[in-house]
Amino acid sequence: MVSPLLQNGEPGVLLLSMVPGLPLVVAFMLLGRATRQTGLQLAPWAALPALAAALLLQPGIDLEVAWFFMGGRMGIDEVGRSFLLLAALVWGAAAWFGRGYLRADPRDHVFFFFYLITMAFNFGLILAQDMLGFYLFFGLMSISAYGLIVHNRSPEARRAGLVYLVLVMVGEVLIFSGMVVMASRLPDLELATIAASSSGGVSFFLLLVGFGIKAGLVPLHVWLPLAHPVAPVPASAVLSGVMIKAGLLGWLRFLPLGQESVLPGWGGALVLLGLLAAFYGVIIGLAQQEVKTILAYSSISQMGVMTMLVGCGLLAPGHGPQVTWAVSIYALHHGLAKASLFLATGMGTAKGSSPAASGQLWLLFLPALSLAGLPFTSGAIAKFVLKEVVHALPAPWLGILTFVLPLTALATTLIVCHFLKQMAAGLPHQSAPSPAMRLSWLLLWLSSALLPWVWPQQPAYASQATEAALLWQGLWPVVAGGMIMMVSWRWWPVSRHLTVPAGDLLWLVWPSHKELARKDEAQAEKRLFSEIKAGGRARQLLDFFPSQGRRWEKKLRRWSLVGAAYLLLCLLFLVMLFR
Amino acid sequence: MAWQNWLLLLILLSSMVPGLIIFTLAESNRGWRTALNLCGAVVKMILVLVMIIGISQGQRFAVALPLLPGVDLVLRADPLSALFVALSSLLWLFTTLYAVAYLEDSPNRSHFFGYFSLCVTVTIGIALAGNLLTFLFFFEMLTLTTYPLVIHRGTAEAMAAGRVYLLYTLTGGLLLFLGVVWLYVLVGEVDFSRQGLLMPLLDGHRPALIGIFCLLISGVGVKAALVPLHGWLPRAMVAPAPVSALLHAVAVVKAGAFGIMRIVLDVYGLPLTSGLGLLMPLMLVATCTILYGSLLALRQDNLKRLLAYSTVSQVSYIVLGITIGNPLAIMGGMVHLIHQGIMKITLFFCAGNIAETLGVHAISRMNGVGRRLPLTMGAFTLAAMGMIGLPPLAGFVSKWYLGLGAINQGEGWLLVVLVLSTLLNAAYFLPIIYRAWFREQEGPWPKDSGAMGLWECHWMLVVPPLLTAAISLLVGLLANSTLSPLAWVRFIVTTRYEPW
Repeated sequence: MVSPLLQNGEPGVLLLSMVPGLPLVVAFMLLGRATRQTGLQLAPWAALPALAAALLLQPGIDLEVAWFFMGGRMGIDEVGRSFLLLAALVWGAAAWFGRGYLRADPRDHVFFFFYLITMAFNFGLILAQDMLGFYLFFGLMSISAYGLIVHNRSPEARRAGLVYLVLVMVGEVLIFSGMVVMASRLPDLELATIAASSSGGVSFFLLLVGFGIKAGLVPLHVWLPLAHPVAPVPASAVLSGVMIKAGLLGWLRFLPLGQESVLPGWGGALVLLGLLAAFYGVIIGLAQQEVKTILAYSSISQMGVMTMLVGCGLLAPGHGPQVTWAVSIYALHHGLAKASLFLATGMGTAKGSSPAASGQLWLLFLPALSLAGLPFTSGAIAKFVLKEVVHALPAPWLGILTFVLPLTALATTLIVCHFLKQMAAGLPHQSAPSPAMRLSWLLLWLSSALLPWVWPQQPAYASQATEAALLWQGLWPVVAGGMIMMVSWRWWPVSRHLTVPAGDLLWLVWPSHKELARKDEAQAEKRLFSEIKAGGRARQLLDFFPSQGRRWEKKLRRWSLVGAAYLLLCLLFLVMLFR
Repeated sequence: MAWQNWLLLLILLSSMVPGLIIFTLAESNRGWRTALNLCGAVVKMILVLVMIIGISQGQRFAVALPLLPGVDLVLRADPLSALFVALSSLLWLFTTLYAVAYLEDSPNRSHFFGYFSLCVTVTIGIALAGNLLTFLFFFEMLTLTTYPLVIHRGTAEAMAAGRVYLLYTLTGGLLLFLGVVWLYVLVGEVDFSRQGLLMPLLDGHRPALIGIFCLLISGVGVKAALVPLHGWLPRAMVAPAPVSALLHAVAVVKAGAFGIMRIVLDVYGLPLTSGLGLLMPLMLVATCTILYGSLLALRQDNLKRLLAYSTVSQVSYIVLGITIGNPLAIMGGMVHLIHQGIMKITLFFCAGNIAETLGVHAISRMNGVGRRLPLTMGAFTLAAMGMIGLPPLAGFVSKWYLGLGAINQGEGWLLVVLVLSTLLNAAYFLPIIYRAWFREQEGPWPKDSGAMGLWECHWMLVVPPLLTAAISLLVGLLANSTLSPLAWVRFIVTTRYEPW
């Protein structure tokens, strides 16, 4: 366990302001030609203040800036500390990795500009201790991530960017409305006040869906499998490892977890939705070929488990802090493991190509199987805290979840085995990784393997999670899953019988891009460009109104409405005068 | 007269005198013209600053000049006028700077800058008007001083736009005139500082009050571009960019919105307006305008026309705030007077730069503009995101208070309107930003006047939008500080309109 070294006071405040400040400064250095090279060299180090703050600052430290925005408060609390540690590690390691990954890219400064501002805003939202600060950084982070997704400017990237941006804007207005409704009932907007107040009804629903878009809540997850494969590898790592967790943090901060007054119906709905996502992500993921898409679907499935946890928080009055803590442990475990899997896809692992590559493939088993909760991995701790929460649930849910949870672990095993097999089959067009890439990947791998054992504030869990009875509970889904996959590879390969385009449900509402989904690229590119030329799909949906509107406009002009309105008013007068 | 009385006159004269002198200057006398313009703008800024400090310390500024027998031209500075005066004089300074570079080689510059200065004088007059007759006087003058600016280019299209502009505004002026006269017959002079003047008429003269209200609002509503009285605005965008900037951000449209504020808040007062049941219809008009303007903006390919429709939509935020009628919403509406002005002037400056430097007018030709004009497009991006209402930019602050006010007033449906408006704004602004930054240039620009030294084009074209974009970021980012427009608006609302 790491003990806090810095107390409230000047050094702490300075460190706190450097957490989002340094990445922003470095980002703007990249814009000037003269400072560009220095900026690029500094980029991997820009996450250091965040790492230092997470490790050294005592929870409870905060900094009030009355003039900032609408009265800002930044600080570190228990939950924030855990999320900040995750964010600092993943953003930092992926930046280091990205320096090597993009070494031949002439536009690497553009990538790192968006990378660093997105990172600064992500840190900012974790530190924010008031409603508008959180909303501010959340919105800024979502918008700036667009630059990461469309970095390679391919038609697929543009399409993924468009889907992403539309959903970001929808999420943005939902969160805005939810917060307005919530704010109108609160004396002030600090997170502490929000945690103490009970919100239900409209604002609850708006915030649930608004943050759910970022958290990959099914059926709003469609941007995830589109965005991950097209973004450069370090960007996918932070997207899946950290940024989707921002939606989760939004839920923790603004939903009334553990309170009596909320509608238990919502909690139950959320638990079911989470379980649905946990299995849905796996089924669609098994039908995918591209490794990053498989990982994206695995993230959807894992976020489903975390959604279920949040739902438990709404079902179990009085267990708010416990749920919050469980979610942050689960997020830490999943973020580190998933980010190290994503980075591995950028290192080229053709079978037998070199001892280093095949060694790395074997190393991948650890983070992959830890997602399924293999004993002695970080996943074992995550599954253990999950079970602790489930035990606090009222009767019907306890039974259902005790039955279903091992099945989710089994499902996860299926998808990570599918991923490992695709990795072993080799990836096309990858140059050999640079030493920096290997090192940063190893760093992330090590943190994923070790950190959850030393980090939890209640270390007793770490030892309890390794008890003999639990070992079997953790082991059998993995063994069973592995065996099922072997059988299936031999006799019934899933992906040969089931093809679902990445983005699954999206194609129901956006049929014109079926070609692209089916990889009929020439056709799709033509269609996409003609649509972008026509002003984008979002505009086309609204075509009816403007065309009608233009007709009205013409009529108004021809008829000279002012004159008519004037006559009408005069008539009105006469009527009134002689009444 | 004490110096306080002279101050208001000096503020008017500081742009009127340079304007009149400029008319007499020769076309080639560029140095003097520019010097006079900038001196006037700077002197006015200083005087306005003195006035604002005075008002915040409780000093009173008023002056009455005889206009006709028995009719005085009354100038008075209350906090609300200070808000509008500050906006006008600040943005006038920036626009002057911009216009000097923009019109560098075009004909009739003396003529242009003369009317330009007069236009600002008149706008300030509207802001400082202390009673309804004075307001009417300046409001009509505004039509006459802006018309030459709209038709400045002298093309057939400009002349046609000018005709439409005159038709609309003069008819509006006539309606306003009728309303003012009718009200004068009923109660005599209507002074803005005496609230509740019309309250005793509520019982006996209800129809008359409603009629007068309709006349007054439709009179000023033409300039505020309320649907369906907005037809002139998209056409008037044929004017040179600095004129459009001023028209949309400060002078005409804002004068209309300011007029609506004066009529609802000061002439009638909120209690009377709602007692007559007039707030709701006006609110409906405002919401229709917000959505209709945005829906039309979606279809535009000409950048300036799109901005014009966006103005139609955004100015009605101000009206919406007033008609919701509780302190929070009034704050949101009033502060949008400033916020929309700063953001929209930035957008027009940028549109002007793109047209002037690259000859690009159509959005569909804007691919890759960000690479060629990064500073201009940076400013554009900030302002456009502010228009969408993304935090921490100016537009968000207005939207937040409007939303809070609507919820507190029990008008939750207005939140849906705000949300739709946000989405529509995103749907027409984000594609522009996308084209400029994320697409490659296709073919050569229609023209390219080239980079100038360190700057991407003439520095006087780049600096004003950069400054206004920075301000639109700062007024949002520092909304809670004591120097922000929001703080001033809070001061206005708590001192004048809170009790209701």
